[in-house]
Amino acid sequence: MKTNARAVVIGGGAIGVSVAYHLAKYGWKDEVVLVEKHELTSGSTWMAAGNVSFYHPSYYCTQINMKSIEIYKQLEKETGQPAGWHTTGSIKTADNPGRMDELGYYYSMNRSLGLDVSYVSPEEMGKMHPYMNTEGLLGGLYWPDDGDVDPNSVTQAMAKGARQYGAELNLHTLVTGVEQKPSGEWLVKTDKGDITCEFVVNAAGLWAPEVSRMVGLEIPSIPIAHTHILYEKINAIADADTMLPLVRDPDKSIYLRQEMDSLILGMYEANGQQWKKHGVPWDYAQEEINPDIDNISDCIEAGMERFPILGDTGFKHVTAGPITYTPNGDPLVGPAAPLKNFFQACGYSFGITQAGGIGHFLAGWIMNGEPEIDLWHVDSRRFGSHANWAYNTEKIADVYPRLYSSFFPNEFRDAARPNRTSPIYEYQKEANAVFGDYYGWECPNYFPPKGEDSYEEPSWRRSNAFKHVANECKHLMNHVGIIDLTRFAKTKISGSGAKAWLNQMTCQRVPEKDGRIALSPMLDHKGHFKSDMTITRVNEEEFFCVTASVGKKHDQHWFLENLPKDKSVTMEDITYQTGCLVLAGPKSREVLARASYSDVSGDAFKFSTSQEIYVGRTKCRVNRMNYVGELGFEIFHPIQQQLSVYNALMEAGADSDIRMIGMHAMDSMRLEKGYLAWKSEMTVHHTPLETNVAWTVKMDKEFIGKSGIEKQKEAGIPLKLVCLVVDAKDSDAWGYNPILLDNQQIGMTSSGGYGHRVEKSIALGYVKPEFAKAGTKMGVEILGRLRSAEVVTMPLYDPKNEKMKS
Amino acid sequence: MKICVCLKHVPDTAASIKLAGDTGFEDSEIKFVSNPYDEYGVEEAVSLVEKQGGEVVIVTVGKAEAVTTIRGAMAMGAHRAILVKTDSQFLDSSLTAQALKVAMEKDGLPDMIFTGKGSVDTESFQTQYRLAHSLGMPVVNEVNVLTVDNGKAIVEKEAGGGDKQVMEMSLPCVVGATKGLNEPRYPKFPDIMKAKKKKIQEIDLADLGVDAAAGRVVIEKLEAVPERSGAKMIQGSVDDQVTELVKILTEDEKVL
Repeated sequence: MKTNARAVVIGGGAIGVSVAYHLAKYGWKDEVVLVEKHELTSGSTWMAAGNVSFYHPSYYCTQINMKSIEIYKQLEKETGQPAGWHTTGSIKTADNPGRMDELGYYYSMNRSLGLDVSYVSPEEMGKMHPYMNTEGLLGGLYWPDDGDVDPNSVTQAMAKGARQYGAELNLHTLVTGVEQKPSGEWLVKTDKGDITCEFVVNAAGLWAPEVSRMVGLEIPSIPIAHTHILYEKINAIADADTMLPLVRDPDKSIYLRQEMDSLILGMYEANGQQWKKHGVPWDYAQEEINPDIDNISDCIEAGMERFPILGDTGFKHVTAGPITYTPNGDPLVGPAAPLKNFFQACGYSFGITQAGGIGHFLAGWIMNGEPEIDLWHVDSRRFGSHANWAYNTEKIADVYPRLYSSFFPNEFRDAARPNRTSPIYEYQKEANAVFGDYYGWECPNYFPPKGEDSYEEPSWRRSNAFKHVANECKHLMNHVGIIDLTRFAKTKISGSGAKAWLNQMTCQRVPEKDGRIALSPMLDHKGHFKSDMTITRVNEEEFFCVTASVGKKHDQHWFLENLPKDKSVTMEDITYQTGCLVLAGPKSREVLARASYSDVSGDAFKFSTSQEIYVGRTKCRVNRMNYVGELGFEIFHPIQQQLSVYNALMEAGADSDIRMIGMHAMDSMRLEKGYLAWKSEMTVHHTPLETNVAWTVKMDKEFIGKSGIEKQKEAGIPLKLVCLVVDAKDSDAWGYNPILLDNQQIGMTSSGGYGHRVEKSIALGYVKPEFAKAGTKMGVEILGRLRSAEVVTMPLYDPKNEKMKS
Repeated sequence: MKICVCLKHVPDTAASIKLAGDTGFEDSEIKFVSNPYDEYGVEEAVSLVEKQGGEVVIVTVGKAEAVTTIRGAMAMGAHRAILVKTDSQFLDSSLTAQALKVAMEKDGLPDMIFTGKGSVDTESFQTQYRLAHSLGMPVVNEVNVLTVDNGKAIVEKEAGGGDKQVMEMSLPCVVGATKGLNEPRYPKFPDIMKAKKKKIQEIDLADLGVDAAAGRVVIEKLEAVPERSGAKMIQGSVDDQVTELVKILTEDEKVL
């Protein structure tokens, strides 16, 4: 076994082998080593059903699936080893209107990706799958290019390919420790000797939590015994010339596909059995778990309702085996914070569907430093420190049975909550808040009047929250409100090198004067959006940086990775010691004046500046800016004094009709202002030049991503961000909607919603620059229906920013 | 016709067995199945009763967990069952035979008894003979063809070298079933659900007057089979490879 390598992949399942295969193939050849404690596929891969389809709620994950199919189809030709690929097509059914809406989302989102997808009627589904009883179905979607693959064959084929490109695959090699050397290199210790390497990939599947623990990380990944049933031979299937499509009946929580001369029924039952949830023994390998038929009988019966033949066909084999689950059922991939050159590729519950694709994308990420597509949806850093083992065990009890549940953009499940709360949480509850869950934070979405609509109906249409959100927006426009943004990620950057370093980190110029604020995008090495922060200069050597709450781990990891070694810059995470209440609305100044001991008049406290002032008895860092486009102040305060600050503001605002405002209203208002949202408009696919924050790019200084920006300046921008007013009926754009002109796709939305202050349905999106002129008419497809839309000048609301600057 | 089928609840041969103490193993998490040879007996008994009428009674000597295996046989069509409960997976063959005998006598002796040719866990291959002897019935083991007619059972078994033996037994008799006798049916879900309602009579071994400690064979110690070392790749021309292979098989592995 090699003692030195560029990359060591831990784990010989479909995922690990695919990562090794792609790293070797893309040029690292014999510098790639894989270690597997038993045989290839012996963790979870062996028991996978092998379904491979485009279906995934995420636009980006769908692209991973697309890549898998592309890879699996050519693998045999490339390696000489059959991968067992069959193109069968797949159907996803709907038996209720909410599900039809969800299919509409898939349809439109898939069309944005150029996928072949079509609506099918119950009659058509019956023809495609003669064993299906279509009673009660409203319709379905059909993807002709989906199929299935033999999980073992495809892993062996990728293993053969990996070896052909030079990778070394060591079986029966158990990792006993992973350590980082002072040089930054990693030492992977095994029972067959140690390997020094630059990169480590944790693809240890069932044992990924153990491997993570070796490097001091706790990851939320717990196995559940997933069951599928292979039925005995069905003669009519054996004699048929064509294969049956895979059918997902999400409303019955089952899937059914052809396997050789028969059928496999898989299910996500109500009570998923967590297996070895405290840790899987190292010596477990490829062993079936005792199936619990009673526990899955409801799903089997549901299967018989949809496919009556199953009632007359015997069980040839019932397979139950462990598969890992994370708090939202999606995997943990990418750089592991706060480490350097340690990547996760684990937590997979649909590993075969994504193995090929994620191997490709992760190899690219490791080798190039940046991912080819935005992989935030699977990024391990999307889960904060609250998402520990205990959280996960509670969360997946809700997630597993609902893996096929309809996906709604406005749904926040109750399971495993609350986690993080602001000190004013009880006051918010008292005010009838309907909470959302953001990176573990309970944050009010809206405040209905007492006794009304204290539960938001999950829907792709405008929900019962709509009118309450409208009231909040209008209240803020005319009066004053408090928005709780305690969840903001806050980082203090200080030291003699702080300013110069921050100037490297952002394309914006770091403020030259104390008390100045700068909206500061951070770019990746290619010039695309990495993240976005507001930098407040406290003094020459101290800067207060605020970033999105959900991106905390991602952004601080990026800081840490780039921190100079000479210790001239210190980074301090002050998120959990600092609260933030945003006071906004035309009456916010008079309220703040009453609550504070300082002069907050327009002359004394100008827009886009920051001051340290007393709000009530609490010394606060107040920034005069906000995300809703009204006169307003972001009041940062020591978190233990939040109640005091809150009470001071509420008392001072009593005569000004002050009230609390939620996230839905904030999101509506930011759309009206054309303010960008991280991972909606700001993804790794776009640069600031394509957006309305091009003015933040200062070319007269050096910064990460500058060469990419220069290149784009030369070549011209491929896309431009526009604001569209959409002739929507009762459902607004949400993102990933195709933008069409004469039936040709010219762009895609990045987000959307209803602007209550301007009373218009709004979509933000990127289109080819020639279509970006105000007044250009086009179409936006929402839930499978084409809606007319028109480009308007951004921002729609208060275009001269008079309100904010008043 | 009343037929009893002796059915044993055994660990799946693919299960990874971990020893516990000197004479036991961890059985709480591994997968258990019906002894595969017994399943040929279940299938044969169910088919006979389907054609000729009567009932199929499963008789199991085993731990309480054996109920899951019994339900599997009931899903194949067995009508009811008797479970003689033991504390251990391992019971001496003579005691097993004695327990089966007493249980069947109490229930009323059947017209035929099926067993498997042996069980895949302990592989003692004795129970059917001891049971037949104690009941004074004829017995043939490893039966792969059976015809029952007119109070007689005509059975066939492989005699080696492609020969077969054909024998006739008068009923009641004991048949040790093996592969080839039939293709056991796969249980259908509705039958699995119906099987849940069928009756299982549970009796403690001691209540049958059988003393678990009185076995004539005592397990002293269980040991795991040593793990085999990895595969060897033989290089060179075909002739060289064959020479090398023969050398390994004769000298190193000493199997030729």
